[in-house]
Amino acid sequence: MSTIEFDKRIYKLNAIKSAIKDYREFADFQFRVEGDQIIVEIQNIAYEPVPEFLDEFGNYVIHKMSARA
Amino acid sequence: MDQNKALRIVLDTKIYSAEAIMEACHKFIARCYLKLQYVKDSDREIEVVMKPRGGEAADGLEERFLAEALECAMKAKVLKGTAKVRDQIFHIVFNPDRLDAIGGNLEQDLKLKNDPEALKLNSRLEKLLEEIESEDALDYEEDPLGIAVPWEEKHGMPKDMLHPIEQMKRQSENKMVNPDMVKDIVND
Repeated sequence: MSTIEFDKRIYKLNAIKSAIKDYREFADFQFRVEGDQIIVEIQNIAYEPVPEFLDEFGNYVIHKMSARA
Repeated sequence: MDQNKALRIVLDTKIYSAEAIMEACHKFIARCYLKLQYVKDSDREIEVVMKPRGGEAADGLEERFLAEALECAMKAKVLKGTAKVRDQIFHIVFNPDRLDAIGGNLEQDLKLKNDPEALKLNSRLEKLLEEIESEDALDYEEDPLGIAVPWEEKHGMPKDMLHPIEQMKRQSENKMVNPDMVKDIVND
């Protein structure tokens, strides 16, 4: 299982939710809020290499944060 | 910088707002993998972690990112500063009553001030409109200035200028164009 943490003060929960929705075909996602962090747990990733997948997901959340997305 | 090594940039949110930093990051997502987080035990500094994508040059990345962040911060500041004016403009544009009221006020102002220049202009415009609408107005078909007369009729053909057909014939002789095509055109 892989975990990505997003700072709640910077990232919007809605952007993360929207990114998870778009990425659900590639893996199983679960998230929870702990203090200032939004913790996203990712399992069964159907993409190789996994680190690249995680980085791409992080970038996609940034894209979703943008007003243009 | 090593291609695989992450670049860390710390930005002060007093200068660069979180939104401006995010906007700058968005412009770099095609070139790098990015992550933003507050510096530990700080609620003022944001750390941007940048990992260049494969094949992307890491040289000058920090400078380019900082320039972009500054531009985004500046843009955000200007947008914030002009928000009120923008709102007022939108309010006027999308509110016809308000727009009419402003138009009416202007007209009234003009009358009240009795501006001689404006009155002169107004009477001239009215006169012009009357002229255009009157039956004595010139018909465009009369062409008093001879605008519709072809150049050749007006000034004759320049000596060194060949008629297009002659020009084509000469080009055909010099094998610059297909002679068969020229024959068809000339015979037509």
